[in-house]
Amino acid sequence: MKSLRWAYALVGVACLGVSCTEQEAPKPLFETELSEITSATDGATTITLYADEPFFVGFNQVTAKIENANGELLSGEALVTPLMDMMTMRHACPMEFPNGFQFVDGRFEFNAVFVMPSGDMGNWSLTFAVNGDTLAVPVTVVQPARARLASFVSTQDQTSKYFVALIDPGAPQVGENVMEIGVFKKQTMMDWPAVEDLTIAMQPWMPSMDHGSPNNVDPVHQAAGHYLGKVNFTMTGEWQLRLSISESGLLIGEPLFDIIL
Amino acid sequence: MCCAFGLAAQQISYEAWLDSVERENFIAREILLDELLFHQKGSGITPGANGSQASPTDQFLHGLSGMHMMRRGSFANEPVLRGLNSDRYIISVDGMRIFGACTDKMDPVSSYIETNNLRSMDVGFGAEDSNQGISTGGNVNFKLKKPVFNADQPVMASLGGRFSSVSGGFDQLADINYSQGKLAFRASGVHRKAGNYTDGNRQEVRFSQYEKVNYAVSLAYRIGKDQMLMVDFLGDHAWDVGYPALPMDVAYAKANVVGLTYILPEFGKLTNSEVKVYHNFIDHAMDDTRRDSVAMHMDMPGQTRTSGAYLSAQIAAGKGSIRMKSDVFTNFSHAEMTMYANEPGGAPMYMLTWPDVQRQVGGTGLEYTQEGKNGSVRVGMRGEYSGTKIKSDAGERQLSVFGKTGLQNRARWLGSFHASYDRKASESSILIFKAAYGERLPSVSEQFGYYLFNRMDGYDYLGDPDLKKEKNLHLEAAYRTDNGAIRWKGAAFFYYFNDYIMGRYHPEWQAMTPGARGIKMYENTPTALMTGGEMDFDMDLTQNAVLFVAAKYVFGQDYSGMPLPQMPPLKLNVALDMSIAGIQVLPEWEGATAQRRISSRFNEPVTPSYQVVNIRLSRTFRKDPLRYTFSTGVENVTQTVYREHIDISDILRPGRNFYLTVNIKW
Ligand SMILES: [Cu+2]
Ligand SMILES: [Cu+2]
Repeated sequence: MKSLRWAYALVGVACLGVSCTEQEAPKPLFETELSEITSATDGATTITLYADEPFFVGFNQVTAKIENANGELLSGEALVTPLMDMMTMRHACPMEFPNGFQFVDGRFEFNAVFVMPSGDMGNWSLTFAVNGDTLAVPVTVVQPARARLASFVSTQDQTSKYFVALIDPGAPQVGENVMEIGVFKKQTMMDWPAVEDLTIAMQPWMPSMDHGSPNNVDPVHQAAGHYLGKVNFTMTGEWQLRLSISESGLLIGEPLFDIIL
Repeated sequence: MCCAFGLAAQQISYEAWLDSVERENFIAREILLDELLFHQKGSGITPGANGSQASPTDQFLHGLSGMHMMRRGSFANEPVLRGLNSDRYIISVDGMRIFGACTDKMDPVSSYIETNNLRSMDVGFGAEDSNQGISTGGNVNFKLKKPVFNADQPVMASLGGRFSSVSGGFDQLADINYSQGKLAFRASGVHRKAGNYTDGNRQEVRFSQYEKVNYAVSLAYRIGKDQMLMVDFLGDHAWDVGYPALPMDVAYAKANVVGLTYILPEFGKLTNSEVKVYHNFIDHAMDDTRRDSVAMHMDMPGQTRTSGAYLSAQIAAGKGSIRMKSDVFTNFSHAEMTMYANEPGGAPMYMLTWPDVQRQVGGTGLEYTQEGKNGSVRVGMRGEYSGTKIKSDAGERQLSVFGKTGLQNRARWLGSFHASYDRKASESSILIFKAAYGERLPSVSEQFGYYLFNRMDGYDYLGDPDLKKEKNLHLEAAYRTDNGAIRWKGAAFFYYFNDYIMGRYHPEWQAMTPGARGIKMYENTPTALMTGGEMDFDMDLTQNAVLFVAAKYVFGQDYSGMPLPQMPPLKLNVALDMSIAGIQVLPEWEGATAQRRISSRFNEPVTPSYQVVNIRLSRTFRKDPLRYTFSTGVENVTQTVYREHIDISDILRPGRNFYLTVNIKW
């Protein structure tokens, strides 16, 4: 840790020396900004996973460090496949590769929307295919104290199962908060595509007082199943984020999130 | 004759310097406590006081010309000046700015003043006075009693008590004055305790009890021939105060006020110079734990802190004189609300109802007066600079809900101007014309209040940090005559407001307070107009009988032509003050017409007319060195069931009350 901080400082000094333009902020070094979650190796390749917090049921932003046996950072192409093995059946979960599959300097980023916690039911693993090598990294997914993923079955066809991940606000505060959700559909056990054509109405609600809050902005689709809006909380306490989700003008589900601030 | 009972004797011992202090400013009207106690001929004070220092301040204010008292219970009524409430006028104590700490206006500044430490009041209406600060509605300055230098009687003291049957109220009060050489000292204390009162229906009005103590100490030290240094401390502490008109009561309301004054009657060409520094702290906590059923329990404490200084002086200029006053103050207001969920284990809900608002104000006023043979002219102006911001990040986040911000300073310039011309109309009468223009800043609640429930119209109120100043153009004509046996004065005023601040209903937003009807946000409405007047008449019927008649009326309408809320209807007071065998006998009649011009936007009810009769008796005995005054009487003799139109909610005023007061002076 310490040496890395020194390295960071040296980079800074070097930058000053050559007066490098700060247009492109350097990517955070793995350990300084993120916590190490787990690590696995097959002798040839070592993969270490970093995130803000331990993996949870919901939307996880993950950074992987990919090294060879000599500890050199690799570049190339990678793919990650999630899998939960529940003995009698296996399933995946929604995955996002916002920067594609190429990676350089050992840094590969992806998002995983875990749909259930690890436990007696089964265990999660993330299988990396890196430059032709395959390596499975077992991971533990916990159920957060406050649910950050909601699911519902369409009230229209009674079969399609949707998963809504609350991405923002991660740490809700009194006042205006950016609100971002990701919506995914369970097409098959292994196929979890983003759903991009929904109309979402949102109302924060304080059940103990039976009031909402003013001036919220309903989430609107941006890209890849991500919907962006604004949510206001007028006071601390226990709130609900109530969503009404419609597809082709028909209400398909009303998931909600409990929020404590 | 009636006045002979009074405390007038005390005035004699005031030394010359004190008289000069009293001429502090041009005062629209200075009302001496004696006038309040014993409505004097020509003073424009209508009866209503029961002739004793033991009566609560509210009772005196009730009888003032142009003033009404808004009730939320029996304690701490809010003075209303020509229909304008405390957001619109300036209230101060000895020139010190003080701000109540209750978001629900349970503690108007008058509630921290007691009659046994009050010497006089200055009352100005509209924009007619430029030395108290800038406002659109006027100003009230309570002047505290000062220590008296009295070589003939170094120690003066008084003791008093009062009993009221309607509330089982019992009050005790005492004061003492001591002077020796260059030093004079005065201390006073009051304790008041009342239970629930009964209304005209003989129904007990629950949650109308109160208890308080008030203590004041002041010390004067003479320097040289005529200079003086004075320290005043005023403390007031009320607890267990019920507000039947509101959903909450008060656990405690505390005020601590301290001021240091230096008086310099002559300095070069300057006369009546005065320098003062002061500080006060108001601490208020509401309480709903005694109520039978509350939707949810809430804690709502609030505090204000104000520090300031001023300098005032007078200088001769040509045929007249100029009075000037420069003052600065800084005021900090904090109030919060914590609500507790009924389900066990639920997280408490917290918000800042006044988000640490800091306001700094500095201004200078000048007033030129010239007295002529046939009249006098007075012209004044004042400029004021103010900065307002909030000092809380949590408050800033709350404001973001409405796309507003408060952390950056909002600077405003304010100006006022007034001119008046008095003209002798005959040997015994005078005509007065006034024109004035005043502005005011939004109050802390109007600018930064956050979900403040208003019991009057049932809405939650939100402040708007971007409110503009409210402006008032004020015109007035008055007439005064005194031909020896008959005295009367009348005034007719006209106020024309621009950017009149009022709440507007926002149906798109939802109420926060359980049971509230919706949300109103304060906004600058285009215009409002008010007009009305006061008339005070008194006449010697015989050597020992004086007839008093007083009337007051206010008409107000908003920009859309709808009535403004809480406009007092025509109110009449008639009293006959007689001296029979050394006993003052004072029958009084008070009545008001119905108010049918109501504001539907504010869900005002129609208020029926009423009449109330009081009978008062008073007698003073001298037994040197003591003087005893006994007063007794019956208020609301006929058990009238009534409320005044400006009262909050539907609580009724007290029914029949027998009272007895005793004062012993030494
Ligand atoms: Cu709430
Ligand atoms: Cu209060």
